[in-house]
Amino acid sequence: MKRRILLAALAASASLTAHAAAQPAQRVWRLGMLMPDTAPALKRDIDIFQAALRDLGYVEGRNIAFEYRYTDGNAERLPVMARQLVERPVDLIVTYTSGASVARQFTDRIPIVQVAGPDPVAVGIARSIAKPGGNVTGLTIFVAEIMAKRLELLREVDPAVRRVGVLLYKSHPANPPIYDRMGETAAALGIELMPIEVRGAPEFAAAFAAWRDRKAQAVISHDHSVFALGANAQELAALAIGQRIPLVGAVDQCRNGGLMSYGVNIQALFMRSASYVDRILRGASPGDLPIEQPSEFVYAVNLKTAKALGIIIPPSILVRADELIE
Amino acid sequence: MKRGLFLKYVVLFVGLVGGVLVINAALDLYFVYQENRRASIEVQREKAEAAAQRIESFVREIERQIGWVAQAQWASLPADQRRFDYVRLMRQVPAITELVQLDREGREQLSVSRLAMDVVGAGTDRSAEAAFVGAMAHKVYFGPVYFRQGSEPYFTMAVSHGARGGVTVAEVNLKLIWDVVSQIKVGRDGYAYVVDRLGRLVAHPDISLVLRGTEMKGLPQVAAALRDRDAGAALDTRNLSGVSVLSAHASIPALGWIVFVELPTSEAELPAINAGLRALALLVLGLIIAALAAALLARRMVVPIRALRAGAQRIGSGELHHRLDIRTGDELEALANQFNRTAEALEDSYATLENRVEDRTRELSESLEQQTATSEILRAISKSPTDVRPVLDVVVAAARRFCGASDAAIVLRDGEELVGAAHDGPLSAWVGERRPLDRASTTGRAIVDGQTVHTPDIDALDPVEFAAAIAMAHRHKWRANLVAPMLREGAAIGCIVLRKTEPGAFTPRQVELLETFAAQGVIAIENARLFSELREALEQQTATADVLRVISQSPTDVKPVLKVVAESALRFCGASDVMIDLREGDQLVTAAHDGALHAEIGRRRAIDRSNVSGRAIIDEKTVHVPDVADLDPGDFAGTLAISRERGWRAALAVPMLCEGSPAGTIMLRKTEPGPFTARQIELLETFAAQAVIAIENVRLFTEIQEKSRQLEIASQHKSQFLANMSHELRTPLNAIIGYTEMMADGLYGEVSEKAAAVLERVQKNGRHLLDLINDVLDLSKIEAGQLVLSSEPYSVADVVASVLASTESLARAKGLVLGSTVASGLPTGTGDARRLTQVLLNLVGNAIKFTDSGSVEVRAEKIGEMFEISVVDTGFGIAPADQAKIFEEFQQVDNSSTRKKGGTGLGLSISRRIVELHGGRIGVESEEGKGSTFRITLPIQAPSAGSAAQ
Repeated sequence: MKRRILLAALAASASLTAHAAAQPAQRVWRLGMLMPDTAPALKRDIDIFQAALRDLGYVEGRNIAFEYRYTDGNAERLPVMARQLVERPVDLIVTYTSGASVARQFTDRIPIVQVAGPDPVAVGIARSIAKPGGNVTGLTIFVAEIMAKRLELLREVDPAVRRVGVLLYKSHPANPPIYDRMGETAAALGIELMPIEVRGAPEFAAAFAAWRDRKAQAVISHDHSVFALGANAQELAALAIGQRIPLVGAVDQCRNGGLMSYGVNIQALFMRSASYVDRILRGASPGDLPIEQPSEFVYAVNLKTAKALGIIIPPSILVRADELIE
Repeated sequence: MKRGLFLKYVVLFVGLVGGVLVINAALDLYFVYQENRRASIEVQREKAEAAAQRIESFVREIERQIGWVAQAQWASLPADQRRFDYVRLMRQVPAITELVQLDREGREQLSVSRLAMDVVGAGTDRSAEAAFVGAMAHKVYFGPVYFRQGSEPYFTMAVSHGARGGVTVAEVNLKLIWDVVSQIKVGRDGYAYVVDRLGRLVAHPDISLVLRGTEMKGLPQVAAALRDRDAGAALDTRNLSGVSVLSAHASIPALGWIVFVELPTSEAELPAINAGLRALALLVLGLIIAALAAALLARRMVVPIRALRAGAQRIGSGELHHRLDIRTGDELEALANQFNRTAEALEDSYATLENRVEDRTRELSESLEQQTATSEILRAISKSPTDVRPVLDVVVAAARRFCGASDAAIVLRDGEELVGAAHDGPLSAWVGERRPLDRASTTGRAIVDGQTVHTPDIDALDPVEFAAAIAMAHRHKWRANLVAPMLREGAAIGCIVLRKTEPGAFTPRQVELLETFAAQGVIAIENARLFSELREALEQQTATADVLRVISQSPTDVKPVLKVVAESALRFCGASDVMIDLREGDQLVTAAHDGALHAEIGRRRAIDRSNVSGRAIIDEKTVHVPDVADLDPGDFAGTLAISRERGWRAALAVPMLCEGSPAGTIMLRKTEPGPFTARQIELLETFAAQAVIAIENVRLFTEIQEKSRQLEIASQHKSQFLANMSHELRTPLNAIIGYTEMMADGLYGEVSEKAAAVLERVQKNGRHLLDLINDVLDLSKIEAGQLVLSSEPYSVADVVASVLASTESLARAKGLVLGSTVASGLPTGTGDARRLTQVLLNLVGNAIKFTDSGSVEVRAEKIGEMFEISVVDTGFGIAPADQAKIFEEFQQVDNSSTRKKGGTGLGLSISRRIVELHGGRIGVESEEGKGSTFRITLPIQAPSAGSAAQ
């Protein structure tokens, strides 16, 4: 009798220990992926982002779910989709380029992680780089510096360049510093800038026609998603080749026939933004997370285009290039 | 108890083992903790050192790379070449964001940037800058960490190209150091970070902390390390988030930075905790094993102890022969043996004890015997409620037995005398003898004083005072006695005596016992007295009841009553005989006698004062003659003569006074002279009174009988007279009617119209008178019991039909509807059809008579075993008060209409008698103004025709 009680007590204590060891059910986080591009174009970046999240312990289907919203290059769909995500609602929105400022219009509560994009302070959605204060954080690109650097690199490749078209998004908040920095550089290099601000692909041809009329010798493109990605990047490259002028801009453009690209390593940024997501999901306030700036830049040169345009790439460029497209 | 021991053993054992295990585990845990901590710190320090080395080598690599261009002659190369080299250098070292060449005067010669525009030959004077000065002085300069754009950590590194070659200044992005730092993993949550010589965060896995330029000087471990760079001591401290950590560090000498590796204490202590858990598990296991072992051991202890207890219990419960069998070979066995020895000893002493118990039992049984004796006495008392003698015998015998005396006796007091009542013993006694009651004898003294008298030696008494006692003692040969009075309500009714042939005092116990027996004797005597009183009272009651019963049974004859009175008087008064004489005129006649003496029933003698009963009659007083010898022969000549003749000596005569005058005497006679007691006189007077009641009763009854007989005769005469009268009246009336009819018919010649009208009236009144006479005749016949019903089969339907036929004309004359409803299939009835027809005719006739308009209907049906015949009219009905009266003789509803209708008032009465003779009933239901329903209920089979006599 007593022995039986003893055994029962033992079994009970064992089962208690087992219960204590059991984990509580995990919450599934819902991430809104507001992507101003097509799904295929972003596949590699998304894969890298998901891999980075996995490394941090977020596995799709177990404790994280992704709500993808691809604009397929149509910038007008961005607010619609941002609103969808906000209303769904999601726990966090991951976006890049102008996505953050659009999403910010619909929520000041749901954290927004910018993978890459214009300076949020300049755009007005963060108070400072070190302490953003609101619901937007992430990474920013030195767009103005990069644009200026593109001009310098263009000039280095083609010292004869004097008139350069600049493709900008209409009334983009990041435009003024671009004008400043590029203006400085252009003045130093004796180059005349011919900036045209457009809203989307339908205006590309007109812009290029304008530049042709004004005898632009090259075009430097802004990194706005409408220009830098997918089919639009392709179209811009094609327009440049069509007019036999170099296009300097984003890596997609370069790969599709633009002469050069200089900019940040977008995949590195995707990887890096996973850590923002992690910290926010673990309770950190996005307003407390400093906005990072990339320290890694990628310089690509399309040798094929160079050849087609009859441009000889000097060794100083070649030694600098991270990617040479033959 | 058994649980207690078992539990105690187990708890003790478990506690002991548990204690040892706990101490062991605690010590073990302490050492594991210490060892673990040491190992953890060692690992951290190694990691920190490795990281420091890597950062050092990272910096040295940059230095080396820069050194590749930083040669004295390099400065003289063309700008393109130098720019090319810088671009290449930047390609080699991604951390470098900007390279600036300063000439030996500190002027800027070339600037290559990843973001800013390359500048050749700017010529800006930067000779005052710390980088230039430092590099020129120490060949290599490492600047402090600074933040570009407010957040990007950078530091400036300058390498001298030699004294004449100028300086290459590189802006190095320290975020790349993060790679190094973030790659450092210690355990699960361990991490590393780097601070510069000012305590600012240079690298941290959480880059945002770096970007914010977090000051780390506040942390004790950082402060301590900054104070003494080489202090190898690890610290138990807290990190920025306040988490308790183990911290180790290593310094980077080139930069003056310090690498910290920290591990949350909780994780560092995890192995210790695991060890603790293992120890706990072991402890639990140990405790279980201990508990089991303890249980086993305790059982081995407890089982023999229980056996001991069970054995002890058996021995305790009297099984002294029981021996314990425990072979544990230890103290328990010794204990068991001790028990066995104790049991043996007990067994021996028990035997002794038993002897003592036997003695005590004997004493008890003696006492019980006494109790039995008492109960015997009580039983004798209850068995013999009337006779005190057997009880006294028992008391005497018991007293002698239990008081241990050789002889015992009971003496009772009878007035001023003593009577020997009972005796038991070898000595002679005076049972049945009488002695005077005085204080000279011991018994007398005890009775007079109401106190126990104890005489240990009769010879020691005062011979004068106790003369009688001493005489008695000599006569009955006793020497010592003890006398206890039998007290009733404080007075002695006798005493009980113990006697001994040898002198010697009686013990107090004997005295006490004797007094007890005396008390029991009193109870017996009292009992008998009460019982006989009760019985006597009861017998008297019974006698009285007998007399009364006989009186009621014999209302006409006084003799049986007198006989019973005589018997009862003899029984209760107790004389030789009893005689009852009744007075008839001036003579007395002997009416009843009971007893041994001779008497003649019916003997007559004159009432005179010469004899007892005559004198009682004349004086109307009780005459008491205690002894005829004392009578005056002149006064009582008769009595003297008869007493001599019959042989009696005493008499008591009581007159039986009936309404003040004597109706006779009742007399008791005795063959022995002696007065009758007051009670006898009283009783006899009671019997005399009873006899008077009987005599009076008979007289009254006879009178009533005579009266009623006379009444009956008178009634019969009346009926006979009525019958005769009717007959006598009818005959001349018939003649009157007959002749009147003949006259009216003109048999005797023409009569004038006036005369015819007179004749008509004579005829009509004559018929009415005839009806009246017929009815009276009927009624008188019924009254006289002369109406005899015939018993013949009849049909109700025929009866109804004949009645309707004879009344139809009457109804028609009054314009009434006359009808009948006779149920079909009515059985044939038995009864007097003619009389029934008469009844129905009477009812229908009445209905027609008292109905002026509407209808008269006869209904006949069978209900059960009865015919129900109703006559329903729509006449003026009968008031409820009259409904009961109309069936009485000569009763008619008295109102103007009935008077107008005429009638004898006998019809319904006769109808009722006829129906009742048939065993049926007749009734009426009526409502004034609405009509009446007369209902006859007749048995189908009328009882055999009876007489109407009442």
